[in-house]
Parts: sequence; C-alpha cells; structure tokens
Amino acid sequence: MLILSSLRTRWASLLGSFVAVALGVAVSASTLAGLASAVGAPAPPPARFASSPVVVMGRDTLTVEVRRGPSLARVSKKLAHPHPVENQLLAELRTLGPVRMDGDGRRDAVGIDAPAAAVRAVVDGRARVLTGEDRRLADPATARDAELLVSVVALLGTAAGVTSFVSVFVTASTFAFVIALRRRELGLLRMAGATPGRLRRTLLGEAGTVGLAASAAGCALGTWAAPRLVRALVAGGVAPSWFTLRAEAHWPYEVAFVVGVLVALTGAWTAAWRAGRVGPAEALREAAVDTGVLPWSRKLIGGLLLAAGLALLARSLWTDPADLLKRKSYTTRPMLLITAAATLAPAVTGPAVRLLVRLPGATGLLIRENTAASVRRTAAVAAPVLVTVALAGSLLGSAWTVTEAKATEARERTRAQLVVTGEGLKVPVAPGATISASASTAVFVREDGTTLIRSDARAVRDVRAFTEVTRLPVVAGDVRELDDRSIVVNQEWRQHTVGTWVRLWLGDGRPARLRIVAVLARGTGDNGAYVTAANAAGAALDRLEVRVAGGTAERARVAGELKASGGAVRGAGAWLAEAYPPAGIRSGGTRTRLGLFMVLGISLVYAGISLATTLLMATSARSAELRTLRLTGATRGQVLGVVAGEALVAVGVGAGLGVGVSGLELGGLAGALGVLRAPVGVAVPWGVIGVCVGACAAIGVVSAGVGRVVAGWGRKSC
Amino acid sequence: MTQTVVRIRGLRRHYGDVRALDGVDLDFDAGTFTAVMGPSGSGKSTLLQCAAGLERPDAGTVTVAGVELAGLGERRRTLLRREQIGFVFQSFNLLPSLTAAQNVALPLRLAGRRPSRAAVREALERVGLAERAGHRPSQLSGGQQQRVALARALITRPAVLFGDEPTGALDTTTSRQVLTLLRELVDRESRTTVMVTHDPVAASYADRVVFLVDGRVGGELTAPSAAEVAARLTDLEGVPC
Repeated sequence: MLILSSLRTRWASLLGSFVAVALGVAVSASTLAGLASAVGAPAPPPARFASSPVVVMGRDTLTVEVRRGPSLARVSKKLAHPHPVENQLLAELRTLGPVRMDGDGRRDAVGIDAPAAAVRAVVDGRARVLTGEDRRLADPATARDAELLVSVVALLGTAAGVTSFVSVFVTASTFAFVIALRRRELGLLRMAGATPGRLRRTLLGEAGTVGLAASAAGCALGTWAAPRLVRALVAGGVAPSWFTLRAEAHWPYEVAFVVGVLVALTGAWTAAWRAGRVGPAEALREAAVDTGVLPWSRKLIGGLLLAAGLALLARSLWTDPADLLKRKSYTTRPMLLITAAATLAPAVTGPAVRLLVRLPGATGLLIRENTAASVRRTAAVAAPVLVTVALAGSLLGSAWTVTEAKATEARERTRAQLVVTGEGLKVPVAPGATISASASTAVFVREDGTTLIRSDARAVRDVRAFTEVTRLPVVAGDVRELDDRSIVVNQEWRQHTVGTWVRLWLGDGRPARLRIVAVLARGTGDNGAYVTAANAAGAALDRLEVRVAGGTAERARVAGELKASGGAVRGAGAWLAEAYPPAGIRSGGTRTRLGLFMVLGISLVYAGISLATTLLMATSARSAELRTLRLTGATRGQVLGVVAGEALVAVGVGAGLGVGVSGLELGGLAGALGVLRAPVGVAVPWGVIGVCVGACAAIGVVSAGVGRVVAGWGRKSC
Repeated sequence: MTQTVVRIRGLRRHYGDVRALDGVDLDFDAGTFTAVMGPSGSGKSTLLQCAAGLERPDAGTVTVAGVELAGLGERRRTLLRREQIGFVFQSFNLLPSLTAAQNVALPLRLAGRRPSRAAVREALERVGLAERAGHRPSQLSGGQQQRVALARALITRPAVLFGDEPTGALDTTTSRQVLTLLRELVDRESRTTVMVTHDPVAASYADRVVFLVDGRVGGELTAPSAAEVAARLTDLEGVPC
C-alpha cells in the first residue's frame, strides 16, 4: 500500500514536471524555428522588372554619417517622399537600351536592358542601380515583407521569452512542492544514512532524467508544431505569404533541448538544496502542517526581488518615463514582480486567508484553517494563477492603457468637426468652413552626432486654419508663429528650446535649418512634429480637418461640398474611432490577437497543467487526513466540498496577488503618463482576468476532485 | 432491564481466501465496557469496523441503536456514524490544521450544528485539557492528542464509543490515564464502550472481555483481572491455526 500510494504521488509529480518541461521545450523549439526562418529568410526572387538585368531606382533613403565609437559610420533611413527617376535621366537611359516601365506611370523605378557598368556610368549617383537579387528592392512587397518579418520576430521573440519565464517558474514551483510533499520520505532516507549531498544528487539526477526525457519529447512535439505555427502565421497575415520553415536549421531544436534540461535542473536546484537540509527527525513527525515560518533566505530573496522590481519601476518613472509605454519594457518588467510575489506568497497567505475568508459551517472552518495552515500547498496552487493573472493584467492592461491614452490624446488634440481622409486630396471651396489641409511627412535629425532619428511630422498648408482646428498640447512657444523657416517639435527631441535653430533633413532628404517656434508635450509619443507644406515637397495632401461655424444644417452642407475633395468625409468622432479603435480583445489586427493568444494562451495552459498536477499530488497525498475527516463524520460531499473549497481559496489568493502585481504595473504606467503630460487613465482587462481566474478555478476544482477520488482508490468506504 | 445498543448476528467477512470473520454473534449492552481481544489476525479490527459501519460485511447483520446498517446507503451510514457512533484510534487521527477545540467541535459542525463555546470547553474539561483548547495537534503530546480525540468522539453524545487499540501508541503512564478516563465515562455517564486491544492490562479495565479466534468468538470473561486475561490469551495463542 505504501509503495503503491507513494508511486501514485510520484507518478503525478513526475508527470507534472515532465509535461511542464516538454511543453516549454516544444514551444521554444517551434518559436525558435520560426525565428530562425524569419531571420535568415530567403526572400523570393525579384518579380517587378524580372526580365530586365538592371533596375534603376530613384533615391529612397537618406544616408548620413554618424559617429560609431572612434570611427564614422553611414546609416540610412527610408525617406518619407522617395524621388522618382527623373525625366532627364530616363532619356539618357533610353540611349543605352530598352527601358521597361510600369503601365500605371509609376516612376520610382525602371528596368533597363543594358550592361550594369554602362548604366552606372550614365546614372552617376543620381539614382540607385540594382542588379541581380538586389532588384527585389524595387518590389513594393519587399519593404512590406521586411516589416512583416520584423513583427514575426517580435511576436515569436515575446512568445519564446514569456514561455521560458513561465516554464522555469512553473517547473521550479512544481519541483519545490514535490520536495515539500516528500519530506517524510527524504527524512527516512536521511535516517537510513543518506548524506545531504547524496540526497541532493539523487534529486538532481531525477530532475535531469525527467528533463532529458521531457526535452526529447518536447523536441519531437516541436518538429510537429513548427510547420503548423508557420502556416498559422502566414494564414493570419502576420508573415508574408512566401514565408516557410527552413528545415535545414537544426539549432533551434538543439538550443531548446539543452534549455529544457537546464530548466529542469535549475528548477530542481533550490528544491534539492532545501531537501538536503531535511533532518532525519522529519521522518518521525506527522507534519502535515507547515511550521508557518518562512526560511529567512526566501524572505530575503523575495524582499530583494520586490525591492528590485519597484526600484526599476521608480527609476524608469524618474529617468525615462516614455520607456514604460513601450511593449518591450512592459512585457519583461512584470516578471520580476511576479517572481517576487510568488516568493513572498507563503508569508502573506496565512494572515490574508484568516482575515478575508469568512465561510460558514464546518466546511468553511476547514477550508479556512487548512488553507491558512498549509501555506506551502496554498502557495504552490496560487503560483500558476498568479503568473497568468499578472501577465494578463499587466500585458493587456498596459497595452490597453497606452491605446486609450493615445486615443484620448488624439481626441484632445483636435477641434475639428469633420475630417476628410484620402490620397492626394484637393481643397474644395466651402464658404463658412475653416479647412486645414495637411500631409503626412517626416523629418530626420541627427542626435549627439551618433544616431539618425526619424520623426513623423505633418505638413500644414494654412497655419491659421491649422491652429483653429487643433488644440495642441503646447508647453512652450506659439504654434501660430509657424512659417516656412520654422518647425514645431515635441519634448522627445533632444533639442527643444524655443527660438533655437535645428539642423535636419526633410522628408525628401533635403537638408534644412529650421527655427523652433513651439514645443509640444511629450505625451504618449504620438505628438510628432509640424512643418509647413513648403518643407514637405512631394507630400500629397491626405487629411482635411474642418471646423464649421454654423449648426447642423450648415455642417451637412459643408460635408456635401467637401465631397469634391475626392476623399471620405466623416465626423471627427467617427474618424477618431477608426484611427484609434477602443482597446479590447477584438481591437487590433490579427497580429495583435495572435500575439495575445500566444502569450496568454501559453501561460494559461501552463497554469492549468501546473494547477492540475499540484492539486492531484497534494490531494492524493492527503488521503490519511481526508480519511480522518470522513471518520469524524464528514460525508463524501463535505470532504469534496472542503477539497474544492481549498482549491478555490488558493486560486483566489493567486488571483489576488496577480491583480496586485498588475495594479503596481499599471500604477507605474499611469504615473509615467502623468509625467509625460499624457491623458492619465488605466484600462484594466477585467474580462480577460475573469476568464483566466474562471478557467483556473474550474481546473482547480476538477483536479482536486479527481485527486480525492484517486486518493480513495483501493479503499471501500472512505 | 439492560438495553442492547449494538447487536451483531452471523457476521461474515472474507478477504479473498482469508476468513476474517466467520459467523460472529455478539451483543453490547448499554452502559457496559467491553474489550475485544485475540491473537493477530483473529479479526478484531474487522469486527470493529463492521460494527461501526466502516466496512460492509459479506453476510450477517449489524444493528446500532435499533438501526440496521445493511439497508443504509453510504450517506445515511455517514450520518448514523456522525450521530450515534464515536471513535478513537491508535493513531489519533486529529486534523492537523485545526486547534484542539476546533477538532472537538468538528463533528457537530459537520452535522450543521453550531456548538456552544461552553460545550466544547466542557468536553475538553472532561478529558482534562481545558487549558490546551487553542493548541494544534503538533503542539500536544500523544496522550493529550488521544484525549482530544476522545473528547471529539464524545461531543455528539453517541450511543456507542468504539476504540481500536486506543492506547497502542501511548506509554504506560498515559495509557493508564486514558483507560481510567474511559472507565470513568462508563461509570459516570453510562457510556457504552467497545475497545479492541491486545494489552491484558488495558482489557482489565473492561466489564467483559470477548476473545476472538479465527473469526469466531472463542470465549469471554466477566470482570477480569489482567492476569486472567493474559493466561487466557496465552492459551488461545497456543491453539494451532
């Protein structure tokens, strides 16, 4: 019986660690394989002008010299307004050989059937000469695909990072709990003469074996999953249609395998170290209750992690608040606080449960006292819930908060009632209406001589009309003074003193020197810069913002007249709603949803597995205690009620801690928005958090119930 | 006139080929203290578990406080146990996360009743542990834990108290304390008590000793001394199996 029951416990615990590691390896292997394919992706052959050996393309980049350490380097940025191949050059090229052009009159590139050297001699730096594979650069798809690949890398990188974190976290907590459960057994081994070192080696050996087997299984699963992942990315429009898995890349699997084994070993490391300190006397104790005292090392580590998490948050808030708004930052930052919360969870569990859980009856009493007394078990169950809720709360909450802030900012920036959008708009005559026509452009500035920064800008036609239809967050200067020799910048610029001159390059690459007349608040980073249309040659009008003096009838008349512009006429509210869709699960494109699904899905699956195995182990290891409860007069229903209730309370503890971590993160973000003078508001994804907690609660109750049934195997009445 | 609290008729229980109980007829009367003795494997524990409704016999009937156990479903049997039967075991079987007072109050709370503080205190006082009410089992000695278990078994005022080697895990002195307590409860409150033991000294506290051999009743003694019990037990163990 003893061997059987110990086997049952061990089976669940080994399976738990095995599945956690195998899943982690599978996800890492497939995401890494996807990353490897995205990084070294063999691009498709040139499609445009494929029959011409040489392609001449108008200049479309700005190349500037910057300091790189002691030497100089040349960096390039895409121009906002690429140059076409000029007529003069075209005529000269025609003398060399047949010139191929697109039917629709696009002049950004032409194909020519002539020797490359001769073409180069004729072009003489006035345009780019492309041969061979480089001709792809003229394909409009190339730039789009490059952007898509960047997003694939970002998505897979985030997924791989989150998976690694969650799998290390879950594996470590599973191993730690297994050791806690096996304390008696380890005590017996110690009593039988095993030295602490021998015990540690045995446990690490176990972990290593599980890690090897699980990594192998994970790699096998990864080879199955990787092509499917790639297909899903293509089908979801995240990756370009020609994107395929590079089967010859083996390193992702090798890396994932090694990482899997290392994760198993490191996960078991602290647990094994702790196990070595189990004294022989532990075997004699019938200790189902934790002593309640956290080892000082855990308190210290938890405290340090918490302090580090808070300090990083405070430092970012102080030195670089804009960083807090960036995805890369808010994806990694919560991990520190999550680990801190999980480490300190046992310390807060007991008091919190005693204080908050007020359930009636014997079941209520048992739930409260058992949960509060077995802090390790409660903390082990709470940990995966904590990770899921905290990730959902901080990642989604941060993304949604930033989205909402940008929307609010845009709403506050405009005073227009009607907005016309479209390509190459004409300004119609509409008496009684103030029309501000503007075009999208960019300016480039070299900061500190080391980096070339591209800043999105808008080129306005009529400064007076522009100031009437907008309400810019000006912190210094006056936008009305904007003219053809000046610029409006925001605080994000290194140089933002009103009245100073700034050297920059315009959207078409022309160098210019403009005087700063006004400085805008930094905000969420969308405030941009403003120049006059004279400083954006080649930019076509793409937006008309209109303010009408009269009432509704007048507005309708103006809206009718605006149709002559050739664009879509909308109310400002409708335009804002489309340009800044409200934050939510359904907002954002397939890409956002897929990313969300991957990151949260992975952590939710992990939480489910970890919850299930922890509760299975814990509940089946408690068969003696639960039998006692039955003998004391509890019905089967009451015992199940206690077990399920304890699982629910533990899930509740995890959810509470997770919401706490999210609260800290979102609080920091709100602080950053305040410092940046952006609209402050916090969007908490209660719906998603609710779904996560609900799923965890369901899994918890079911696995506790199953564990109870497993514990009852082999016994007839109890 | 004495009233029979537990009536056992023709009780049989087999584990595969092993006949643990092979046709046992026994009555336990109200207000009596009975010890059940016998060599290892004589079926003492199985008898107790069947009598308490923890195990279902293969044949025969058990009636506790006038209720026939065989006809009851699992839930009704649990309720009957809760109301009419108290238990103490060799391993004290206290819930580790609850204090002594909470452990004692548990059966009543499980039955949906809210025990008064005074009732719990009184139950602990009867076993001499009133001042330990707030301690957890891990903070109590073995004898103290067994006394808490006794208080818990008695708080529902059961018709019968079963003890399965209740002193088996205790040293001589604490054994004597627990046995004296059991004896007092029978004398003072007319508790019906049935105790399985292999210790002749423990059995000498009982009014009657029933000997089990190979799943059958192999004789009994009334108001025995420890020496008499030991002598009879030696005879029984000499019987070839």
